Amino acid sequence: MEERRTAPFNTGMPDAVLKCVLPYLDGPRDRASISLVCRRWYELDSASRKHITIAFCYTTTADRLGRRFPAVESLKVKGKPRAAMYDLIPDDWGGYVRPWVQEVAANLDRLRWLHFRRMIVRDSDLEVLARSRGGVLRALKLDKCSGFSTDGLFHIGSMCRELRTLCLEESSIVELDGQWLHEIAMNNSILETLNFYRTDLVQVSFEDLERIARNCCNLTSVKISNCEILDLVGFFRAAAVLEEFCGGSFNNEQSDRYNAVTFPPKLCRLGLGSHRMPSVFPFASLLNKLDLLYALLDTEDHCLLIQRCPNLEILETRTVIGDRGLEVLAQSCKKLKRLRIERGSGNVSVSHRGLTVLAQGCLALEYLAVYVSDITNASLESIGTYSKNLCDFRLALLDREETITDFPLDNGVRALLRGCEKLRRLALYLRPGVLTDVGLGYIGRYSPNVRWMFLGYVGSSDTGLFEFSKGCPSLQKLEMMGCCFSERALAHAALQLPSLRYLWVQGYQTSSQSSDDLLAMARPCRNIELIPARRVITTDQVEEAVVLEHPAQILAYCSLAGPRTDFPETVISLDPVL
Amino acid sequence: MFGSGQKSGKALERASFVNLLSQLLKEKRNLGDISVGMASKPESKGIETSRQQAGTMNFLPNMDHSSESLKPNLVVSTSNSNAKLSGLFPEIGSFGASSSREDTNNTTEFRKPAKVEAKSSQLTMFFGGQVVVFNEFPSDKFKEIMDLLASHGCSTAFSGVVADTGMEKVYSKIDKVESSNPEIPDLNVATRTRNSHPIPPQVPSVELCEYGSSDLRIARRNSLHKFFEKRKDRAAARAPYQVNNVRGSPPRPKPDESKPSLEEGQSSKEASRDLDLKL
Repeated sequence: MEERRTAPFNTGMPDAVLKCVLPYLDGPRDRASISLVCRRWYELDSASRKHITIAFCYTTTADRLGRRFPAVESLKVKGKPRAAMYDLIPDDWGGYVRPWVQEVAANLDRLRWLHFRRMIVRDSDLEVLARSRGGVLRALKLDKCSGFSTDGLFHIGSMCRELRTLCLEESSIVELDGQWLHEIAMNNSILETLNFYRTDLVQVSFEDLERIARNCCNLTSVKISNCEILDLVGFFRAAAVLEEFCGGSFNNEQSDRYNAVTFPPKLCRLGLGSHRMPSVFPFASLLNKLDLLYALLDTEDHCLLIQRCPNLEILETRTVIGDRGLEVLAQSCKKLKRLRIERGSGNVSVSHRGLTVLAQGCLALEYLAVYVSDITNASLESIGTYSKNLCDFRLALLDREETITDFPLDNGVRALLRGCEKLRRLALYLRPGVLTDVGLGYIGRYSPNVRWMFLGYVGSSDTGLFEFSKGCPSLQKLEMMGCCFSERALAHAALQLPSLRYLWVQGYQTSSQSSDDLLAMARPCRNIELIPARRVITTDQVEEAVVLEHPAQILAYCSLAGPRTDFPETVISLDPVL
Repeated sequence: MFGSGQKSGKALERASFVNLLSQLLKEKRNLGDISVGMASKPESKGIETSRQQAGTMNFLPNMDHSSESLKPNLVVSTSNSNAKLSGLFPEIGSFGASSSREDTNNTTEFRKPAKVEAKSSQLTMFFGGQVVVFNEFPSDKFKEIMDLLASHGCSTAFSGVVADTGMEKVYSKIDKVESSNPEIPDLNVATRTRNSHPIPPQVPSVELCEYGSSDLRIARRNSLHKFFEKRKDRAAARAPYQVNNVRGSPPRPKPDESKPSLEEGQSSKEASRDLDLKL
């Protein structure tokens, strides 16, 4: 009789036990490790993995996903490079959801949560999705997507009656009517999150919003486009458990009418689209999230409001907050975890002064993204000293000042990296001369845990990149702009960085044998794509032609799917075989 | 310098002029070495002054002088590849001293162009953000163009002489562009070229100069950009007759130049009065 042979590394753990343990391990890195132990564990993981994020849609194919993880319940797929959010990627670049939707429809029976980010979606895709999974789909997020219209959303509204979450934030949607929302209003009674913020969908009817609020007793988060707030009085009254609201506009001349608007009692996350603060004061102390990106508040208004928000954890605003606003923030909002300061259009700016005070006052800070007009080494050192919880730091230096106070910033950056040990994500968008090759070398040496970096106008020669690429052991995704690096140096870096699987560069020194130099980084399972320099002519609002020069871009990434087959004209694949 | 035609009529005028020019260029295809390039919206002083300094003629449509806004104009410059001094043609006159200040907005200024030193020379035309360069352009053809333009009733101003390094930068960029662009494109249409070799990019410092304003060097997030454009629109719609009207300003104004009521930092009360919150 044949004895059952035990493999030398048999854990002795029966499958049944493992199956009980596995559901508690849902972190993607843990799961990845589990799948590498042995074939049996790989199979058990495949059968039980619940969530998959495809960080870049061309790294694999939809059918590979279906074959390996047939029981997946939650899927997130990302498409276009991040630069698409800044209009640097051609619209038709790619990232189509079709193959993924087809796989979902055909094979992924257990799929309940679907999230597409920066991808191209068609109405037909939405129809296929609605028809195939409409009965069970619980969440659909089309996040910064494009290519579809309200007709596609109509299918979702009418057939996806189990939807708890519908998010369309910042997508470009062709608006034909407001029927899609009406369908949701008529068919759905369990919606919890509705989001069409930062879209141009304005033909929605406030009566439908009100109906949704009345029917859906768990409606906790609603983010809309520009509906007049006065029309939403009924909506606010009906949405008794609403915790988050963003959007709306205040267009009425008679401002005292807005005093009649009462916000729901549990509202603690708010996005203001106006200058009307007093109506917020009564519940300002409840707020833990505030979005002032589209508000018309000046510095003083910011100070007055922020003072009243001791429980604020997340703040998004523009540079109009000023250094003074940051001082108030540091004094009043000790629980602040996330701060994003976007570039404004006025004269007020944020500088090292505000940042230093902020770092000293808000010790819980985990995410800081800021556009500054001036920065010093000392302020970066302060961040390194005080912001011990910082995981994500992004700094962009504006051109407002001819010269900045204190440069190069090499030592400050080093101090920040050494102090913020939890840093996972880093962005530095500077100017030539502000971070030297030495500084770039520091970034390499002192960022052991950083997985994503975005570097703009850093370093001064290839030496900097060579030094940089000796370090960054965890760097998986690197994006660079305005580089002075040669293609040879870029190829070298791509090969040196041990964890690198995605590289995007715009603005670099090409050589005469450009393709050859870049091809030095070619490997099996690595795609290299070029978008040659483009001239884009658009018209602005006064019908004047605007010609924009876009420097060439390189995109190199690891892939199991081979080169892309859905290129537009603007993208060229560098295939070493050719 | 380039910028908004306030009325669509101006755009039509411009379009028809460009069409004529297109036809002329196509007829003159056998002129040989013709390079075409595009420049970004020249908001940088570097490009403006250097254009001034390289033997330029300004063709400015009749503009409303009360507006301080930028006007679309056609700038034609010629340069002799040997001499720094760019020349025009005997029948026009001779250039005076180089002008160092930007005066492209001045429709009435007239300066005599310098004597031409060779029968054919390089002709550069700047128009509405597009750049066309003709090497070895014969002087008689140039006269034809001048006549064509004169017949359109454009007032002309002559100025400037010396091509400086700024212009050289522009030219070198154009040359690089040209090398990948063998045929004469339609001036009205964006040139899409599929290159086997990427067009050499700019070193950061040149890029800064070329972009000219911080707004362009640091790309703006789409959502915020839309928001600011809408605010500008609404302010303009509300007050179309004010001086320093936003509508006349370039598409991407520098923060300091934006209309006062649009500026952040104003008190909210003032903002509410001015803007009326038509968000």
